[in-house]
Amino acid sequence: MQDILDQYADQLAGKTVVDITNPLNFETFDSLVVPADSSKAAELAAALPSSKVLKAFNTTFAATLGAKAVGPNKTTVLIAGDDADAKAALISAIQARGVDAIDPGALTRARELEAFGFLQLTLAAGEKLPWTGGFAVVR
Amino acid sequence: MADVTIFGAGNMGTAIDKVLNTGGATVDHIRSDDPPGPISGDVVILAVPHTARAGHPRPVRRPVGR
Repeated sequence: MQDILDQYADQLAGKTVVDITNPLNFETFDSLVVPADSSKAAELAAALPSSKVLKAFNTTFAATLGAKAVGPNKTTVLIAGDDADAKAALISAIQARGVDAIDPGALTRARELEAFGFLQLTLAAGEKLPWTGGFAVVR
Repeated sequence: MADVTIFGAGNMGTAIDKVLNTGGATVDHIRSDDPPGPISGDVVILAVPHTARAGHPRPVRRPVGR
C-alpha cells in the first residue's frame, strides 16, 4: 500500500479514499501492526491530509458482499469517517444495491472497526466461522 | 471516466465492484502491475492488502470469501 501512496498521493488529494484493510501481522495472525490507540485509517489520513478518508468494508467478508447476506441476515457495511457527505454518498451507493450500511461515527472509530475485523478474521482463519458467514447486524 | 476507481481486483476488489456497480455508478480498477496513470474516480477504494507492493500481486492463498 505504501507504493500506492508514493505513486498516487497527489492524485488522491480531494478524493474520497476508502481503506478496507485489516492491518494484521499476517505472519502470526496474532496482532495488528498499528498502535493500539490508533488505526491504519488514521495513518492513511495523516499521509493524505487533503483526502476524505473512510474506513469501510473491513468487517464484511467478500462472499457476504456477493450474497448480500450473512446467513439469514442482510450484510451490513460499517463506514467510519470524518466527512459526513462522503459517508452519506457511499452509504447510498451501497444501499442501492440491497446491502445495508451504518455510519458508526468519526474516523477515530476505525480503531474499533479494525479490532472487530481482526477478531472476525482470526475466527474464520481458525475455522470457527465460515468465510461465507461472520458477524451480522440485526435491526 | 469512472465514478469509482478500485485499487486491486482480488476477492474484495471484485466483490465491492459488484456492490457499487449499479444504476449509473461506473467502476474501474488499477491493478498492481499497471503502470502509474490517471485515477478517474472521485471515490477511490484501496482494496489491496496493507502489505501490498506494486508489481507483486499477492498470490491468493485463502479460500473464497476474503
